[in-house]
Amino acid sequence: MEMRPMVDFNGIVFRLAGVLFAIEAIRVREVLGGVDLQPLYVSGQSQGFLQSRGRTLPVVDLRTALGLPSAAHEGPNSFLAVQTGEPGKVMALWVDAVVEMVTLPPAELKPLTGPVDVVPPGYLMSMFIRGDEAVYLLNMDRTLAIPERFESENLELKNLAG
Amino acid sequence: MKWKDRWFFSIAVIALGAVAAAFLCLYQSKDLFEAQQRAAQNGTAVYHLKKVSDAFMVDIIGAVQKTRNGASWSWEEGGQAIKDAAKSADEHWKTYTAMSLTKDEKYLSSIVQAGFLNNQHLLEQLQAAFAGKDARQLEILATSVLYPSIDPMIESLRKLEDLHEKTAQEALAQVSSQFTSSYQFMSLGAGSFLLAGLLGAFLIGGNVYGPVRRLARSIQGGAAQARPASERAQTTLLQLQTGLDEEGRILLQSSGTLEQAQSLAQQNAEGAGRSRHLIEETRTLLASGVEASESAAAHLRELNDYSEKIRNIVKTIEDIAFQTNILALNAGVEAVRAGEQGKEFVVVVEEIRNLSQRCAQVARESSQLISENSRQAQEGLRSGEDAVRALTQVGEKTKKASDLLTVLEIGCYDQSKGTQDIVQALERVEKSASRNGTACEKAATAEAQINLQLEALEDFSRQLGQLIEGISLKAAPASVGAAKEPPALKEEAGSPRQAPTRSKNEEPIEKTGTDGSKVIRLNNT
Repeated sequence: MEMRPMVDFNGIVFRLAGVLFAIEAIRVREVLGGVDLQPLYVSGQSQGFLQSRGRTLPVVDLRTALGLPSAAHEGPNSFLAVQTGEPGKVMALWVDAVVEMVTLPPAELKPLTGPVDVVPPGYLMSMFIRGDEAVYLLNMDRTLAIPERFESENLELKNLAG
Repeated sequence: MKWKDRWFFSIAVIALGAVAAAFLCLYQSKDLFEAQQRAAQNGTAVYHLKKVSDAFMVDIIGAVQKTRNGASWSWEEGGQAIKDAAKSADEHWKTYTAMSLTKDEKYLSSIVQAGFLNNQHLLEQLQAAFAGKDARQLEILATSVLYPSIDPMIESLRKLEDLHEKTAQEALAQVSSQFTSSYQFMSLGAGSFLLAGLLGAFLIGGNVYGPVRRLARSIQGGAAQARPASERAQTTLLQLQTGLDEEGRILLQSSGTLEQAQSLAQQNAEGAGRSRHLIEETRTLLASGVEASESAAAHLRELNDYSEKIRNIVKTIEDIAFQTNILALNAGVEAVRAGEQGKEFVVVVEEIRNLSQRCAQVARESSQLISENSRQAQEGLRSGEDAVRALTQVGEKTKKASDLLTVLEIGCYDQSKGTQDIVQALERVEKSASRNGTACEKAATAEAQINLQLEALEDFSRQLGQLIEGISLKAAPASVGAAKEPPALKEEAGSPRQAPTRSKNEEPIEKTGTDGSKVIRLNNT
């Protein structure tokens, strides 16, 4: 589903598996970095939880969620606390690194020219060029649908730390 | 015994007596010689004393008188005459006082010496008057000072001369009397020996032949037996000398060789010593190198620690930059959420992000530099530690080498000293051999002379024996006034010579020499 915003696009650009992605800044509640992740066992993509502003946020490894090759996160942990579809519900997306915040005129957003091998189809809406790299705009509704499904199944949270 | 033979015997006795008398005369002539010497000495003393008195009485007074009388005599000539006379008197007086004097002569000499000293001032005044051509002063000296000063001294000189002349006269008289007594003694002695010879020739000639002949034969036999032994001894001594000379030559050669060995050992010891010193210096340098390497390693470790601290600081800066970036992003997010009111804040956020990114970039670059620095410091530290290990090993090796060289040096010095001791011992042995060789040579020479003497003795005794036998044979039919012939002489007439019988006291003693030869010696010799 393509999106053609009429106002300037404000987005948070992040890197994941060597590819630059972006999400709408309005959907981001907070950018977290260097925060220790509390490990927990959840079958599926949830990798743990973290504390932020007095809240406990579930963490989802976006690599796993998007089907990208799993790899160890290098450098300090970087998370994007995003608003889910339900009001007041926030979850943290674990990314490789938060690059920057961009403000683009609508004309900069380009439609996808073809299938992208990086992620399955349907997760991307559009793209723009930053420098000499392509930045893919994620479909947040589709992307955030995965963790909602886990929550709806009432998964138990267990601490994996031994 | 024929008259001719008796005359020969008489002449021999007289000749012996004359020789004895001559010796006695020579002995007596010793006093004669001393008397002559004393006479000559006194004559010399008189000569010098006359010269001294003439210098004053003739030369000095004469010069003064001539000048006073206005003779053709310059002041300069007078002054020079005074000076020469004073010098002559002084020389002759010194020569006289240097002679051997008796007690009385010394007493008179002391009086003259005192006068001599007193007159020195007078002579100086005279010379000054002549030099200054001071006639008045000369007149005063001549009339008032000259004669009173000189006369006592001249008187003493005269007495001294008389004493010496008297002594000389006495010595000459003694010489004359000695000559007379010697002449009388020699005449008496010659006449006595002549008479004794004549009487002996007629009375005792015959009784002498037997013992003399036996004596001659004994001497001849002893000389004949001693000569081979002496020749053998001489030969042995010559052989011994040759052996000692050869031994000395060998010792000299050995000494030379050992001296070379000693010199080489000394050189080796010195070389070992120099090598050891070089190695010690090398060890010192190695120790300095090790110390420097360890110091460098310590500095590198310290540098590494500082790099680690800086890295931590840079890490902190990187974290701060990261957090600042995150904060800026959050600010941007909030600005977006704020909508229109947040648009202007976005610019600020952007600047903050730029600053944080620059800070992060600088931190990254610093971290890279520090990592590189640390890496190089680690490599330098490893190299330094390797160098320290290598230098330490080299130091250990050089220590061992130095110890070995010390042992070598000590050994070489010991060898050199021992060789030197051997050389000195060989030199002493060589000198001893040389002395022994010289002694052997002298002994061989003495033996040769003994051989010659023995040969001469043998020849003389043979001649004497022949003479005695000839006389006895010829005297056998004539018996006028002859003493009783010894039985041995009668048996010898017309028959082969037989060994004479000896009395018990004349029995020869047979001895064995050191070389095994037999030596015959008469008991009464």
